[in-house]
Amino acid sequence: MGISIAKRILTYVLVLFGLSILIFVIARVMPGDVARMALGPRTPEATVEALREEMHLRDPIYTQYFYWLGDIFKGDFGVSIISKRPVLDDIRIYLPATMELVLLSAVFTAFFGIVLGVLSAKYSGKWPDAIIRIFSYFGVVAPAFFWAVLVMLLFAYLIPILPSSGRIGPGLTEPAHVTGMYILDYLLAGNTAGAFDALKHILMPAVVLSFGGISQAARITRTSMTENMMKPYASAERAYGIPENKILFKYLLRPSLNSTISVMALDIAGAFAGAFLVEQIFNYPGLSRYCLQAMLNKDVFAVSAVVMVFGVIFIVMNFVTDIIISVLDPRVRLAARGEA
Amino acid sequence: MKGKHKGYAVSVVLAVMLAMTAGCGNNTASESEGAGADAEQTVAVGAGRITQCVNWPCYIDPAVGSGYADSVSMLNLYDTLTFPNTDGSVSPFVATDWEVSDDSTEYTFHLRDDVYFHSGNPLTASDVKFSMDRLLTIGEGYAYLFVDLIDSVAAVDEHTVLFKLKKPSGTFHSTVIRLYILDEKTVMENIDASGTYGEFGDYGKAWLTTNDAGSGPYKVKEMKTEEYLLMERNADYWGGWEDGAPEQAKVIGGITGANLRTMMSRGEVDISYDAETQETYDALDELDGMTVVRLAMGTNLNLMLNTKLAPTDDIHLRRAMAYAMDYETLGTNIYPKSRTATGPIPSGFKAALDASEFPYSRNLEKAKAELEQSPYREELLSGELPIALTWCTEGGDRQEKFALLVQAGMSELGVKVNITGKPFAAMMTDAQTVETTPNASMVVFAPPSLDVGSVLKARYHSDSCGSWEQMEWLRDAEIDEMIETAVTIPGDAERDAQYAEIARKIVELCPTIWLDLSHPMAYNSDHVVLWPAAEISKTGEPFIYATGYTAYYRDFRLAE
Repeated sequence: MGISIAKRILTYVLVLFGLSILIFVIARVMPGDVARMALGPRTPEATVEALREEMHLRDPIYTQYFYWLGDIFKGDFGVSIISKRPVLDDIRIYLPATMELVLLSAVFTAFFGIVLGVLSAKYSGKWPDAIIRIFSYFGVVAPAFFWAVLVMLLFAYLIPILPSSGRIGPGLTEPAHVTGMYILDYLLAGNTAGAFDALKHILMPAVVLSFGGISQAARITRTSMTENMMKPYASAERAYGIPENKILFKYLLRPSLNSTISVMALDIAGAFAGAFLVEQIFNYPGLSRYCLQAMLNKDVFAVSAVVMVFGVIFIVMNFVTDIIISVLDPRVRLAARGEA
Repeated sequence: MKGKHKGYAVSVVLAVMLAMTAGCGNNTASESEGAGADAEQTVAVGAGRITQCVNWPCYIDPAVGSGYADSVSMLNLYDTLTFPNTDGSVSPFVATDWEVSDDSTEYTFHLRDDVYFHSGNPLTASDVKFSMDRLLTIGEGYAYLFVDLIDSVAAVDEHTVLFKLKKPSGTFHSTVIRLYILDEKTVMENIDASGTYGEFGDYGKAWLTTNDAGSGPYKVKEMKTEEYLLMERNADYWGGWEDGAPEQAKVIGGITGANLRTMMSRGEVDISYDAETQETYDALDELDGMTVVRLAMGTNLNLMLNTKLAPTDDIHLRRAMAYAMDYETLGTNIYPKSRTATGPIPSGFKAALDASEFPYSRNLEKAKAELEQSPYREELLSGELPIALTWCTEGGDRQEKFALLVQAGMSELGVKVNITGKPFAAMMTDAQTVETTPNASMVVFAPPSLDVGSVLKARYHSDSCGSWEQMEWLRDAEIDEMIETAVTIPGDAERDAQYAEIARKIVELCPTIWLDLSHPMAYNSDHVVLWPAAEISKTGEPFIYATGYTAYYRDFRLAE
């Protein structure tokens, strides 16, 4: 087990190292002069040249890479050319915003995805299954930005009950920074009005972000559940007279969740990077939108750092998923120990 | 699930839904009411605030920012020696008057003695010197206007400042509208000593990212670098206040499309950005109380023709392109209410040429006649030598439509035009050599100050070749000399006459196809009852605003 974990951690380190090279090169071969982009098109050439020197842009790309890597080990991710702040400060501000959004979206995905999947399996071939299937198809086929515009027009424009932009309303000041996640920070400060306001602001983006995941989770759960419902042990349970709901939720759901959780974890990890359109449309100041702006402005330090953060998140999510699956399914645990 | 548990679950769900519903409702109202539970954490939200969408990011440090959002912020937070008028002239502002030496190399400004910074410190000549020194040392923002011009700055006495120039300038008093005056004492109290500017540390750059050290009509209340800048009135402003002027002004970034429409319909945004699609403006125009205006701000759209690369190095082909252009479609359908330009000087400037002096309008016969005289005629008609045209992707679908219009016009002559969309960053890289600069490049140019000389110098002087500002590669010694001479002439009328002469010469060479852009902006005229720029645009008279000055909020009036 210990060796297995060590191997896995070594793989993760290699993946991150490869990712760092890849993103460093990609960020630098994007068209445009980094220093010129940083200082603006009209800044005198002497000032731009000084920045090129400071950023080692005249050195070969591999030398630049080692400067960058060396700085990272010292905790210095460079200064963003957009915000003019250390990139690490930007990440501290933007990451919790995206984290809050993705976590809420993950809650919706997990809850509705599994519930709809179970219902769909239970009523397989009947009208609830058909409705859920249609919803799932729409959720998968229509992109998040489509839902974003639709939901915004519906709940912010036609029936204006939810705010369409930002993290909190103009009448509120930010909560004291504890986690950076406003709902939680307001609650910790005992400010329920603030927490509600933050919840209202995040509700539409989180729901929209979860649509795709809910649809996928529902379909996968349904498929696994349907398969398991045909297995002999399910028939035996029915023969013993165990109520159908108990069979579904107690005996069939757990073994049916392996695929769902694997896919859901990838969806959630992917949502960190893929939230940029939703964040853009709702003007939500998260890390994905920041990364998009950084790419458009050739903010090389910001792009590199953010992609590395997304890489780490992806790896952590994979690791956590493996643990959850091994807890849920004894076969996986035994296979890891070589006992299966 | 047992019945009791079911009951709990239903209760919890209902309670959450009830609480959500209570927390929803009209957004603006609930925000202040909802915040009432924690009164200390709230700021007033009232009718006295104006909110405008701008491009983002926004840099409020006068030694860093020079974009539209930056300019809007800085001109509201800081004061300047002179203030621009809409006819291209400037008026005394912090400087009550000024003297110019006979050789136009020394400008002495006399300052008001009743101007105070937001900190309470008085504004003195020393602050002016400090602001210019800081701008030149950092070298960013509007420094490019001064870096080749300023020899030294001296505080002669508390209220007199002397600028010595490296070369004569007849328009320096116009250029100083971009010298935003900082409070030296406040900046020095907030420097980071570990910065790279020696005894000045970081020159206050970190602090000034989210704070101001100005004396302007507004001061920073809250700066969220990722979202918005909220400013509040400087109640003690030396220029005073009139009833109805905004109590607070907020510039906000990233609001576009459906979100903009939603927020404007809810009264959360008063003025739109100017880069929306036509469909968005049409939708906004239909909202109650919304008005769409088109502001000419001295910005022109240039189809820059590379005069040193075949086949556009041939003047006859360039003229053929100018005659083949469908200006009416361009100025009505693609850029509605934009004016057909009369040359390189945007309309609104007094030196702009009269329409009667501008020879180019759509005329296919003349275009064909010019093409006949081109030494590249055969290669052009056979398609062997196509014209390469690049449009800027940040310019949106309108630039692409413009490119297609050029392509369609030239196809009527039998000439092939290959069009490519590129990000501005790539265009800047292309502009560095003659060979990599396309035959035709589409670039929007906004004059940084109200000095025509700076426009002509940036656009057509040989010094700007190799930069995005001059992808024509004109390199005409006579024009260079004419520009250098014109900018030293102290008399406005005489100088304008010389500028017009330069414009005629440039028009004759036809290095560019110009369009005077109108910027569409939607605003809530029920709330913003007076927006000077919108009012003047309705008169139909030529006018010009230096970048950002359409948003000098002190002159706005809001409904009660």
